[in-house]
Amino acid sequence: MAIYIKSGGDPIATFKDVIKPTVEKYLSDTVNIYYSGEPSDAYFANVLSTKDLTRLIPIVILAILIVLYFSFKSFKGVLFPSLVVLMATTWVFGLMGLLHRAMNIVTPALPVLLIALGSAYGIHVLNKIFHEVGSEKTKLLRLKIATAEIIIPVIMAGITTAVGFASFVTAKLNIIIEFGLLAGAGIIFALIISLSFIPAGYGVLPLGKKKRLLNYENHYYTQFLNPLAKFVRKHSKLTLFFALLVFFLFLIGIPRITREVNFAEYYPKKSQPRLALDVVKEHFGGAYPLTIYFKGENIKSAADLRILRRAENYLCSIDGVSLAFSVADFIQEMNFQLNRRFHIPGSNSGVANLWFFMEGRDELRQIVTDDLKESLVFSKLSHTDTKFMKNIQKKMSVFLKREFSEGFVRFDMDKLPERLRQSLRKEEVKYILDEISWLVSYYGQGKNFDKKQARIILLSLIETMPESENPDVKERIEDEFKNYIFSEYFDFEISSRLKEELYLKLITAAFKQNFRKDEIDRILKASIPSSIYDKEIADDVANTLVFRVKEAKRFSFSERAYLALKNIFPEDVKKNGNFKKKALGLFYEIADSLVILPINKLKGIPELKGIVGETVEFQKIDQSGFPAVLTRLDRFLYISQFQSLILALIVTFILMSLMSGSLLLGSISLTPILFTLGIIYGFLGWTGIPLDYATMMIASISIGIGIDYAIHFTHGVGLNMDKGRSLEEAVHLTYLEKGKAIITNSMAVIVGFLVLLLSSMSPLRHFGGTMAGSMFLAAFSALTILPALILIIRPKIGGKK
Amino acid sequence: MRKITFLVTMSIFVLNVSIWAITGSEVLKRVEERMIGEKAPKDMEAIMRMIIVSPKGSKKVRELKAWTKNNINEDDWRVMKFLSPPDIKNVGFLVLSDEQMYLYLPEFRRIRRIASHNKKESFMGSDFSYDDMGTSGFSRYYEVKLIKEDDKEWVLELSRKPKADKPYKRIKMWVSKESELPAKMEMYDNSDELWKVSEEENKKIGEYWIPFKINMKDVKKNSFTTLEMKDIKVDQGLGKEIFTNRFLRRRVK
Repeated sequence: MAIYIKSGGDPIATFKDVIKPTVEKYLSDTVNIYYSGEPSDAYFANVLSTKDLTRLIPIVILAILIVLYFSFKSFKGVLFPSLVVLMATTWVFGLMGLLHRAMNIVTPALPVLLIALGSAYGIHVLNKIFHEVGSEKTKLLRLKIATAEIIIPVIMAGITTAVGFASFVTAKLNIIIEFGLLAGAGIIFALIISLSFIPAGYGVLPLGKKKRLLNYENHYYTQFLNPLAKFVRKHSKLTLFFALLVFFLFLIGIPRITREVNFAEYYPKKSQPRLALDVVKEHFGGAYPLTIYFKGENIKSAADLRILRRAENYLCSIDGVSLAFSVADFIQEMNFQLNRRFHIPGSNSGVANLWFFMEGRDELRQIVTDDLKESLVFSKLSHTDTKFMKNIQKKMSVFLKREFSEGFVRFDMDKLPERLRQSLRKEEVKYILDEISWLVSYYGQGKNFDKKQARIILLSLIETMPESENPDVKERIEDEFKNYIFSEYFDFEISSRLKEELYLKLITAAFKQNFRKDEIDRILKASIPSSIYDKEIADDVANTLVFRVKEAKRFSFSERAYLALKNIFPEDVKKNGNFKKKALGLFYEIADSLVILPINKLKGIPELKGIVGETVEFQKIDQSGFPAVLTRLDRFLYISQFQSLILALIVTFILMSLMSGSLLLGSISLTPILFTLGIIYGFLGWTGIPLDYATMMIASISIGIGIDYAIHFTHGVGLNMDKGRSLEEAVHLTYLEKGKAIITNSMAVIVGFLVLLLSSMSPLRHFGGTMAGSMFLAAFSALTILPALILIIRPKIGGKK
Repeated sequence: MRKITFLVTMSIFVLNVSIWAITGSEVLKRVEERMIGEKAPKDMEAIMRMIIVSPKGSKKVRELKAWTKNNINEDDWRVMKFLSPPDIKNVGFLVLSDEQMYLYLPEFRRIRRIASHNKKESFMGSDFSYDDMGTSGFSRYYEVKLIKEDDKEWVLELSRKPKADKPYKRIKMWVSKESELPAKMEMYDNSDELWKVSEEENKKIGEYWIPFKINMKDVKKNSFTTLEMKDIKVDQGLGKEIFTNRFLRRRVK
C-alpha cells in the first residue's frame, strides 16, 4: 500500500497519529505490516532513540558513580560531580524542549556524553580541593586558593571541549550541527556549575576528615604513576620513538577508510525500518528511488516520449536498478492494449489519442506535471550502501552527459527522399540497438548479445522493407481487411455478399505494389450502391485501408527483425514475454515514419545537406533520488570532517598558545591529540569501521576533550616550575598531582563512551567504541608523549625553563 | 360540540396532509422523468464545452458535440465527439448502457470497448467520471429518502443499494421544485467523506427543462470542471443509426 502525505504538515506526526493507528486498526489481525519511507524511518529512529536513552542513561550513571567512588573514596566525591552532571544535562534537555528540537538518531549520545564529560570539571575541582585538606589555612581561604589555582585550566579545558563540539557547525547536516551546539552548551553549563556549585557546596559543608581523604602520596594510582614518571624521565627519546613507530603503522590504514551516509544502514538489523527495507527489496525492487528529471516544452510529444523511454531502458540495464517506469510506459502499454504494439506512436496526435485515455489518472500526477513540461523517469534501487549509490550516481552522470548534452532532431520519414530515409534508418538501427542491448541486460540479468551481428542483420533487413506482396504482409493485410470490412460497424451498411465482393476486389488491389487511395476510391465507387455511397465516407474507408496496409508492413518488419535476431539473444531473454513485447515495439519504430536521433549521430550523413529536421531540446535533464542525495551527503561528510578537524585544531592551538604564552608549548600540547587521531583513524581504516555521521565527530571531540589532559599536565608543570622546581622535578610532581585526576577523568569519559556500545544504532556503537579508545590514547599520550617532548625540547613553561 | 367539530376537522386536515405529502421516491421519480423519462426530450443534440481547472489553476478546454436518445424505461444512448483541441478531434465516445461503452480513436482508426471497471476513471481528465457521463438514473441503484423540503426545493438523501456498482456511497440531492431537476448534488465516497459537488443550472427549452451548465468540483483534489451546453436542439427524431459504432467513426462536421 502506497500512502502519500500532503505537503505542509508534519509527516512524522501524521505517520504516528494517523497512518500507523489506522493501518493497524484494520490490518494488524490479518497481515504482517512493514513500514518503509522517510516519515516511518524517522518515527522509528525516535522510538529507538528513546529506548536507547532509557537503557543507557542509568548504566552510564552507575558506571560514572563507580569510577568517582573508586577515585575519591568519598561520598561527596561522588555526589558533587554527579550533581553537576545532572544539572547540566537537565539544562541541555530543557533547552532542547524550549527550542522545540526533536530527538534523532544521535540524541542518545548527548546525555551519555554530558554525563561522562561533565564530570571531568567536577573531578578536577574536587581533586584540587582535596589537596588543600591537610593545610592549616581557614576553610574559606583553602577553597579560594583551590578554586583560583584550578579555574584557569578548567575553563581552558571546558572551552576547548566546547570548541571541539562547536566546530560541527561546518557539518552541513542539521542533526550534527544541532548535536554539536547542544553538547557544547552542555559542556559550558557543566563548567559553570563545577566552578560555582562545588566550591559553594564545600563552603556550606565540611571539607571532611583528613584520614578519609586520600592524598596523592598514598593513592593506588600513584603506584602506577610513579614508575611511569621515572620511565619517561629516563627514556624520553625511546618513548617518542615507539610512539612514532606505532603512529606510522596506523597512519597507513587511513586511505582504507570507507564512508557510509545511508541512514538506513544505521538501524539494527531486526528493527522495523531494516525489516521493511528487506521486504521491499525482495518483493518490490527496493525502497530507494532513482529518478531522471526532464524539463521540456511538451512531454506529451512523440519525440519527447521516445527520449524518456530510452532513458528508462538505460536505467533498467544498471545492476541493482529495477522497476523503471515513466509516462512513456503508460503510453506504450495503452498502445499495446488497444493496438497490439508496445511502442510510442509516430505522431503527436497518436500520442494525444492514447493520452486521452489516461488523462486525470492519479498515477500520472506523480510523473508528469499538469502543464506537461516536466516529467520523471522513476526506478528503484535494490541496494542501500553508500558505495553502490555513488557508483550509480557516477554512471548516470556519464550517461546523461553522453546522451543529452547536444539535443535531438526529429524527422518525418514520409516527407524525405528515399536515399535520406535509408541513411537515417541505418543510424536509427544502431541507436535502437542500444535500447535492445539494455533490455537484454535487464531481462538476462546482466547477459549480453552480439551487437555487431545484430546490426548487420538489421541493416540488411532495412534494405528490403516489407511489401504488400510478401506472404507475411499479405496474411496480415487479409486479416485486417476482413476484420474491418466484415465487422458490424463497417462504414457502409451493405449485405454480406457485397462485402465479400468488395473484400476480394480490395485485397487483390492491396497485394499490388502501388496500392493507393485513389484506386480504393475507384473500387468503392464501383462496388457500393449509389443510394448509400458517400464520397466523404468512401474517403475515410480508403484512408483506413491504406493505414491498415502501412500498419501491416510495419508489423511484419518488427516480427522479421525479432525472428532474425532471436537466435542471438540469450535463452532466458528469448523466453521472456515482456522482452519480446518491448523488442517488437522498438523494431516497429524503425519501420514507422518518425525518426529521432541525437545531433551527434547526424554528422556523418551527407544526404542531410540542406534538410533541416525539427530540433527537440530539453531545458533540463538531471538525475535525482537517493544516489544523488547520498553522494552529496557523502561529500558533505568528507568536507565536514576536514573542516571540523581543522577548525578544532586551529582554535585549540590558538587557545593553548595564549594560555601558555608560547607558540612552541601550544604546538607541543597538540602532539598527544595528533597522535591519538592518527591511531584512531588508522584503526577505522584497518578495521573497516566506516566514517559516518557519528564517527565523523570523533576528531573534533577528541581534540576538544583530549586537549584537557595536556592542559592540566602543562599547567601542573608550570605551577611546579613557578615554585622553583627543576623541569624534571616539576614533570615528576605533576604526574603525581595531576595524574590521578587525568586518569580519573579519562576513566569516567571512557566508561561513558563504552556504554554507547550497548546502543541499538550502529553509528553510536562505532562512535562509543572508538571514542573510548581515543580517550584512552589521549590520556596515555598526555602522560607519555607530552612529558617526553617537554623534557626533550624544554620549552618555556611557567616562569622558568 | 365545537370541540369535537374542531378535532374532527383537524384530523381530516392532518390526514389529507399526510396523504398528499410527497415521498423521496416520488421526488426521485419526477427527477428521472425529467432526465430520462416522459418529460425528458426524446432526443437532444448540443455542443458542449468542458473547462477543466486543475488544483493549481491551470485550464484545459475541450469542445465536443453530443447526441442523446432517451429510451424510456431503458438505458438512454449517447454519442460524444470531440471538436477541439485539434489533437483529439474526432475522438468519439458511445454509450449504449452501463456495460456497453465504446471509444473511437481516429489516429488508429479503431473502436475499442471500454471495460466496466474503467467507469470510475476520470473522463478526459475532467472531474466527471465515465460513470458520471454515462446513462442517467438513480432509483435502480439508490434507496432514497426525503430529508427536507421548502417552497423552492426538495432535499433527498440517496443511499447506494447493496451490490450496486456505483462509486458513490451516498448522494445528497437538492431538487428544484420548478424544474424538477437536481440543482445541486453532494457525492460521498465509500468512507462517507465528501468527494464531489455538482451544481447545475437548468433552463427551459420548449416544454423541457435541460441542464445547460454543470459545475463538478472534486473536493479532495480541489479541482473543478464546468460543462456548458449551447446550440441545444431537442426532439429532432434522431435515428438509431447515430448511436452506432459506424456513426462513431464518422468525422465530425
